[in-house]
Amino acid sequence: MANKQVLKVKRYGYFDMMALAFRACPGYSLFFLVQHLITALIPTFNIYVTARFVDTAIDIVQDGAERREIILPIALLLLIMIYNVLLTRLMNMVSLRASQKFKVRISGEVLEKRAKLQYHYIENPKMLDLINRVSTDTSGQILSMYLNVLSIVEILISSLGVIITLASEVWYVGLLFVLLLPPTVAIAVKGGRATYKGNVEMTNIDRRNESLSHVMLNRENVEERTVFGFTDELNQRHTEGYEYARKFRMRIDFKNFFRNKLGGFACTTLAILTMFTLLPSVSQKEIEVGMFIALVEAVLMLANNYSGGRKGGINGTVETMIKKREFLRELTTFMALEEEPEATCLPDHDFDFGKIEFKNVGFAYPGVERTILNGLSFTIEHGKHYSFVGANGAGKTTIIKLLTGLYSNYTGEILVDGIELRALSPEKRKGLCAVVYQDFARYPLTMRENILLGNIQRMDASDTDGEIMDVAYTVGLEETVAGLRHGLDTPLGKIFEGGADISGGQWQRLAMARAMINPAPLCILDEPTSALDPLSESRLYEEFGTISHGRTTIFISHRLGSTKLADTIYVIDDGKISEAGSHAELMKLGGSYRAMFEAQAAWYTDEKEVG
Amino acid sequence: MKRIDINKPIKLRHVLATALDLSMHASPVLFITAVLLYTLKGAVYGLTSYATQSVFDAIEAVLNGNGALTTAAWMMLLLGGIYLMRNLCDAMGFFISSVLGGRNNRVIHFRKNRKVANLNPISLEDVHIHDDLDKSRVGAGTTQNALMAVMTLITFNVTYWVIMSIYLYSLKPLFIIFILVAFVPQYIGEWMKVSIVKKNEDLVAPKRRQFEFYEKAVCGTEFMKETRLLGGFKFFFGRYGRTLRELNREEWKAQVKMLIVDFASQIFVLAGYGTMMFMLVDALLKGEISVGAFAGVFSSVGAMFHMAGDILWRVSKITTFVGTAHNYVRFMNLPEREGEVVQADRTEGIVAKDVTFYYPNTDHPSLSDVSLNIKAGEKIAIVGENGAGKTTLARLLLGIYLPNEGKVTLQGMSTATTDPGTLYRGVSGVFQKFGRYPLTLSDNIRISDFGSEDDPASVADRSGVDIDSPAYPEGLETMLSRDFGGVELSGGQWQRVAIARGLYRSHDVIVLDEPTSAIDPIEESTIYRKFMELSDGKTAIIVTHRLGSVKIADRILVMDKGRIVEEGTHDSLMSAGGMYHQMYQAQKKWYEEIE
Repeated sequence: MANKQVLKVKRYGYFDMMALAFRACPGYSLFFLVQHLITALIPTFNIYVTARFVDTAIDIVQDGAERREIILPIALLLLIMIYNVLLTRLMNMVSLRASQKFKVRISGEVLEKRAKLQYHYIENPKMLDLINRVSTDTSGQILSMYLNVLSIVEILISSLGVIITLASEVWYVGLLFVLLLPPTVAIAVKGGRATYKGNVEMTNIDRRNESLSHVMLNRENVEERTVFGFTDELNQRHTEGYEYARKFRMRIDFKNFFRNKLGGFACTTLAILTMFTLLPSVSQKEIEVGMFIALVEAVLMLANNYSGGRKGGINGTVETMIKKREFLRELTTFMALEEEPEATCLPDHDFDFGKIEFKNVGFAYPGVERTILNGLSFTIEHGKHYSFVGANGAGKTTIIKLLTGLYSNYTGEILVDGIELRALSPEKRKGLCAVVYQDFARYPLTMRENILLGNIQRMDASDTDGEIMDVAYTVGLEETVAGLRHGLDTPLGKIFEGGADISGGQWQRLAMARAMINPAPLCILDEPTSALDPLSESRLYEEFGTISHGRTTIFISHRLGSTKLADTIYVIDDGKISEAGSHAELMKLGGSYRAMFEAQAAWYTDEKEVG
Repeated sequence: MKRIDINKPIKLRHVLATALDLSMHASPVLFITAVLLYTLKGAVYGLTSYATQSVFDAIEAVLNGNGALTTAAWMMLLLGGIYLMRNLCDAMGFFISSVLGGRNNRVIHFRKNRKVANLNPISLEDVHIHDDLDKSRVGAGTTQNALMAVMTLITFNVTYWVIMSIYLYSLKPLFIIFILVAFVPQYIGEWMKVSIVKKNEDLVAPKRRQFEFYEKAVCGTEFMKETRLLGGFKFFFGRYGRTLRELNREEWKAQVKMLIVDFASQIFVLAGYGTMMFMLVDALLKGEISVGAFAGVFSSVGAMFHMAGDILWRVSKITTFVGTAHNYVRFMNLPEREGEVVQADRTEGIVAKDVTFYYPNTDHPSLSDVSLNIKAGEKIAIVGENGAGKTTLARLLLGIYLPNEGKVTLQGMSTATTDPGTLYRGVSGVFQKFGRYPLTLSDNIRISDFGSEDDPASVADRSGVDIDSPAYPEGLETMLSRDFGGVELSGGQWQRVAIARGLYRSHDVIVLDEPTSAIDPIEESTIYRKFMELSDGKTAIIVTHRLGSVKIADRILVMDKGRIVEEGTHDSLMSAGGMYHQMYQAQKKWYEEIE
């Protein structure tokens, strides 16, 4: 994978159907080209061999020619057969090797590109769909595109060979077939375009139907689906949408099909007429019977080449080529997506900070009008504990996304010891935060690897056992580890053989352990509690206090109880800090924090009536 | 249709029965037309050799001076006609199959959607069934493909070979026997290849899963942001490359084995082809066949070898189709929920008696021996830690899940034996996993009762959905999905829509399951209060782990490990000093003023 990149940022066009393959694997691509060229000559060769075989056989019967003369034509026939049968099998092996090589070359590049993509693309469902489409079997798509082009070349050359042979016997028949070629190609191009356009037009209906299906089939909405019984109504809408799109496509298909087949009939009729024109020459013995048989066969094959038949004929392969344009278009878009420079670098763990300042930070998610942060300013000082509270959608989680560098298109400044965050080296930026995300990752790796991902540089170190067991003990995982078959080296989840299932609570602890082993100076706990029961919630807050041992911490929460652990609470409202201070200060202030706190606390006052 | 026993392995005949039932329902005329057409196609293909022979015989006669050119011309016209027929059959066959496929697909979707709705909801918790549903998308297609392949085999291939056999037999019986023999090794080879593929697949499948995971670990939405922050790219990328190379190696090994088998069997075919040529020439030289017959057979030898291979190809296709069709067939033959239509007694609440419940494929009951009597109009709160069985109990009380032991009676109807439609007539809910449907606001509310004529605006208003606010630019007709040119709602806004939805459905019994995870504290208080107001006079069940909020309930049930461990009003539970008290204190602690 070390040589030059196959995929580049550029506008991909038809030419790239070949160029991409040559860039990926020049050797194999050349091989395929040569193979197709040879295969293209077979039908012409076949005409002569067949003619020779039949004529020789007849000569032996009628004119008493030597019997052994038949041996050479039969051998030649067998040779063609060997090429067709055995060599094709061998070619398949070469194809397999080639496709493996293509995959190794290309899939790595695609994966790297995806890993580097700016994060907002991932949060955009439409873009994510496109990314998934392009990166599904990219190498296979590139290879098949190339082979399809070669098939077109092969069919054209083989047709030409047959036409020339035909023309050498009766020139005007050859000419007629040549004249039929451009309209056949034109029809194929037109059909391909119509299908493509039809698909584009139906995309919205397809997507709506897809989403309706999802509503009727998914597992999450089972309660509503059962009790509300909405399937009948949605099913009817789905059927209507489906029928509309199907009939629309069928009309296009029918038109294409009609045109194609009309061409096909023209070719077959022409082939039959050719036979008629040859008939007098045969009866005059101007053409040998063997040649006649061979020509008849060739002419029928030609008709087949023009429409349908092997590899879909001219129209099939040209149509495929046009449909593949969609892939190239999406590939162009995909490659043009902007990257986060150095998104794949390792974190710098010797990095520490004294003060982080948000100065008048404004931010809107790409493609969304509403600004989520509006002139946000606050300070994080080394070693202190902070809590961010506020309603959903107030911008709490967005702050983490900015701090961790997932988004960098904010206005204003985020200063780390006076240096703008965007100007920090990516290694340092990564080394800044350890985050326990609300939807933390559950890697189906071993327990050891799951924890060590928090300090990736130590992944292959041999002396990590003590460290790991320390954090496992602190987060309360030591019993879990002891209960696992191979201790720390037991894979978790279902991907690896012998994987152990652990509970949601244990995964949560594992995520904490990962953050704990992470030497980053700023520790962030992102709203962990929405799915937790009260006892676990209290425990988590207390534990987080202990595991952050001396590091700077940020809690993000809309539960207020936890805020008492913080030195400073920032209340976020409408993308700004609306209140800041310790719990006591904010209660005294009597603003929105107090109102929220009291609303929640009211449930726990011992009065009978709540108001 | 007789239901297939889904506990036994799914065989070809089950796949065919399922597909045939569907085709005959979706487009019987087209299907029968296809059957006739493919038979005709087989006949036309088979007759080509006869026609070719006739042409050459006639030409031979002309050349020998004992035939008229016009006969040869007529024969040629016949041959031309046959070629045109072949073209026509190919074209029509292709077109009919694609229309048939499109029409069948509609019914496949329709039936599958309905199937999911009619299943026992618990089925979807069964990983095997869920797996079947996931894979049924592919399976639905291959089920139809299997039928079409078998149909083609019986109509097209068989007709062709019957005609060819008669023809070859009439020329020289040895020919037909010979062709059959030449292909036996290939059939054996094909069978060996299937077992190689299967063995390889067993070996490779775990590797492929790992490979897919490494890819996901780098750029799957569930892993991406964390992997990126942790700098995990190189770690995963290295393993990705290594696994890919291992996969390639395994695949190559299997392919080499297959190539050897293939080569060996193809050599027989080649030998067969060569011998056939010799026999043909030999027969011609001995005067056993005419020059015309020689030409006719010669020109169709290639086609015959191709057609023998075609059968093989089709048979192996059918095997792979059946391999992927079984998920779909099994899914479509799952038993559906049925029951009798009875009269609800609206003065009755909900009674659970000795209810024990297991999730599929688990050994531990999620609920054990739960007994409970909720009077009509009573307000009940169910509290407890995560995994205590709160939501499960609520689902059983509504009759969504059925007890493994014991009995639940909802408004006097046993949930296990009553027709679901009847059972749910007076029941509604605001569920934890409510749907965020990509529909209009109006549809998102009306979805709880599409049959109702009520105006959704009034419940929207009562639930705090402000349809005049800029959040809903087109009022009730605002599309609630950015994907379809609409708006995106916040968690809190969705929550209110879900409440409006629950209230829109006319009900005597309503469940409110953990509604507050997506909303802020002030909103949370409002919602509980509002919910209580709105469900005045109705039987209401609130499921939550926020204890403070449930004081307003008539009765609180505390659950632990699938049992009801405490029961009573807030005051009585607090003075009892048990689990409720303990949990309440833990939560309350955070809200006590220190100063």
